[in-house]
Parts: sequence; structure tokens; C-alpha cells
Amino acid sequence: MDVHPKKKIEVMVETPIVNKVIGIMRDCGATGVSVLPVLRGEGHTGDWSDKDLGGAIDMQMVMVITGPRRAAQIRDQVFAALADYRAMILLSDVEVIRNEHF
Amino acid sequence: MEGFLDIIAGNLLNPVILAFVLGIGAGLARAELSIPSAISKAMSIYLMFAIGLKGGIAVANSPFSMSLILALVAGAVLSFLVPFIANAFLQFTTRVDGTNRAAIAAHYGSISIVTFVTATEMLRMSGLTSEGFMVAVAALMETPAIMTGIWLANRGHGGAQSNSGLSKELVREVFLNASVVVLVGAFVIGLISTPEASQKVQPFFTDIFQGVLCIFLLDMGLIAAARLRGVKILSPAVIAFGLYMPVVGAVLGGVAGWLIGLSAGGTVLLATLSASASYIAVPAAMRLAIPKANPAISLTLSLAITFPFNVIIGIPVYLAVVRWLYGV
Repeated sequence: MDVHPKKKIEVMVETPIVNKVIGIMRDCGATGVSVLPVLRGEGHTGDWSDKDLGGAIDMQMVMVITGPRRAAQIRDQVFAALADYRAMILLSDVEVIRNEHF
Repeated sequence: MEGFLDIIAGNLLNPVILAFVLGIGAGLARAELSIPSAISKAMSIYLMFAIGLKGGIAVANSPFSMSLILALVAGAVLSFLVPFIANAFLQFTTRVDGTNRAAIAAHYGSISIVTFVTATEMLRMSGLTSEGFMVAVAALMETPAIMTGIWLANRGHGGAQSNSGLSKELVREVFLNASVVVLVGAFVIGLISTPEASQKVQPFFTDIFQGVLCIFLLDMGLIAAARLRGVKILSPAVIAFGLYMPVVGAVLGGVAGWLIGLSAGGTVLLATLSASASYIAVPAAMRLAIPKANPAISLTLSLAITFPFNVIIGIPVYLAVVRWLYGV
């Protein structure tokens, strides 16, 4: 079976900003985006949990898989947009089977 | 005075408040107790829908009065003005910077719908009634404070503290947040539904209301206790603000209620609304509007200090004071 190299970008970010991040990914040409829940965590900016009723300080994970050039574009634009927010941006190399989907 | 203290004691020994105290105690003791967040959110929607529906039905069954307009105006004015007062107290009594002062002030001008629901239930249990339109006042008071908070943040900073690039998301958050949509939506449903149709849904929205509120406040106690563990980021002066600001707000709301001629129950509710601080709608709006403000400060203050104060001490005292003053 053939596999194709891609980049996976995972952005863990405050819930109120999730739609902004998704918008940037779409504007950069991402063909699909997944949003995953983050149950709880803590770091140098404090702790967070999905028990926050208003969603102001809880976090969600936005994941996109795309080609290297588009991934670099998304990385730069998301990084610029999240300067004032708690966020973690991860990039990794992955392999996909259905190349046409990404 | 003895009767006054008896009223307070009677209000405190109430399953709604005791459930909240249990939640705080269990949370602080790190007991193996948690309620799934999806159930918490469902319960909050149920409570807001029930209170909105009851308000709409009550208004539909009573003739239009000038009190409705006056109460809406009073609520909007309080929501606009309380942030200025909160900002001034913070400026002169704490070392909180201007950006965080603005965010905190917005929280205290807006309202906590859970505090409002608790006050409504305590009114009912004490035999007092209130104007049905207070639900509409609650919904209205959610948003003006956000505008004042943004203005305070931008004042002297040339707009640099707010995030104008996210205005669409902010507008959606301010006007279409769950509290506003469910409260206003249920209020309108109650207002336009036929009495026969409203009667059919009453068992679900009335008979089990107090039980759901107990479980919800048990969960809110757990959440408040979790946030209380992060209280070390607040200085003693800021913690003190979280305790005296609701009293300042309650006095303003109580006087406003008396001036516009609300009933004793309506005055208690307006005092409670003015005393409460938002921890659902405003924190999310502030993250969009004033991203440089630290949400942990304002949220810990409103959720871990002011909310428990209002539920355990504030509402019983506001209720007792108004009953004493009105002689009811």
C-alpha cells in the first residue's frame, strides 16, 4: 500500500479562539479540520478544565493534516493570531493513505 | 433584630444552599465526586429555560405595567454603571493593572444567572413573589457591562488593549451566548404560549426544578472549590473586593428597586442581580475583547469568592433586609 508524507498541525487553544483558528486553517486552504476535547491540564499559565461552564479558560485541540507548504503557512498565521492567548502549537510528520483527502 | 436573624438562619438552612456548601466541602477535601460536564451544561440549560418560561407565563398572565419599562431601564443603567464603580474601587484599593481592572469590572457589572435562579428559588421558599419580568431584566443586564469593560480597557490605551479583529466573534458571544438565547427564548415562549399548552409542560419545568437546582449547585460547589485552590494569585485586597463589591452592588440594586416601586421580591432580585458577578458569559467575551487580561484573576474572583459569598451569605441577607424594610 502506498503512503504519502504530510504534516500534522495540532493547536491546543482556549475555547473562545477555536473558531478563529479554524477560520485561518480554512483560509489557508485546509480541506478538513478536527476539533478534539481537552479534559483538563495545567502549565505555566495556570490550570484549565472542561468544567468551565462558559468555556473562557478551558482548552480544545484543533487538528489539521496537510501538505508541507500549506502547513508552514498555517503555522505562521496561527502563531501570529495567538500572541495574546494560551496555546500550544505542535507540528509533526505523518503518513496518510488517501492522499487526495489532504 | 431577633426576627431579622431568624429570617437569615431560616434562609441558610435550605437544601439549595446546603447542597452548594456540600459541593464546596467535598471539593476542598478532594472527595472522589464529580458530575460530567455535559450533565452540568444540560442542567444549566434546563434551569435557565425553566426560569425564562415561568417569567414569560407570569408576564402573559398580568397586565402591562410601567414597572416593566422602569425595571429594564434600571437594570441596563446598573449594568453600565457598576463597572465604573468596581473599576474605581480596584484602582484605589488594589495594585491590579488597568487592563485586568477593566475585565474584572465587566464581570461585576454583568450578572450570574445561577445566583439569580438561586435567589428566585429562595424567594419562592420564603413565600414571597416577584414580578415575572425580572427574567427579562436579568437577560438585559448580561451585556451592557461588557461594553463598559471594553471602554475602560481602551481608555488611555488608544484601543491597543482590545482586539477589534475579532469583532464578529465578540458580537456573537455577547448577543448569542447560551444564557441570553435560552433566557430570552424561553421567556418569549412562555409569553406567547396558550395557558393550556403551558400547563402541559409544567410538571417538567416546575415540579423537579428544586431538585435539579440542588444537584446543579452541588456541582457549582465542586467547581468553585476547584477554582478556590487557585486563589493564591489574588492579593488580600482583591479578595476583599470580591466580598464587599457584591454588597455595594446589592445596595445599588435594592435602592433602584425601591425607587421604581418594585415589590419586595422584585427588589431582592434586582439587588441580587446587581450584587452578582458573571462567570459564564463575560469571561468568554473578555477573552475575545481584552485578550491581554488574565482570565484566571477575574474568573477566580467572581466564581470562587463572590459567587459562594452571594449564595451562602449574600442572598439570605439581601432577602432578610428587604423583608425587614418592606415589613413582609
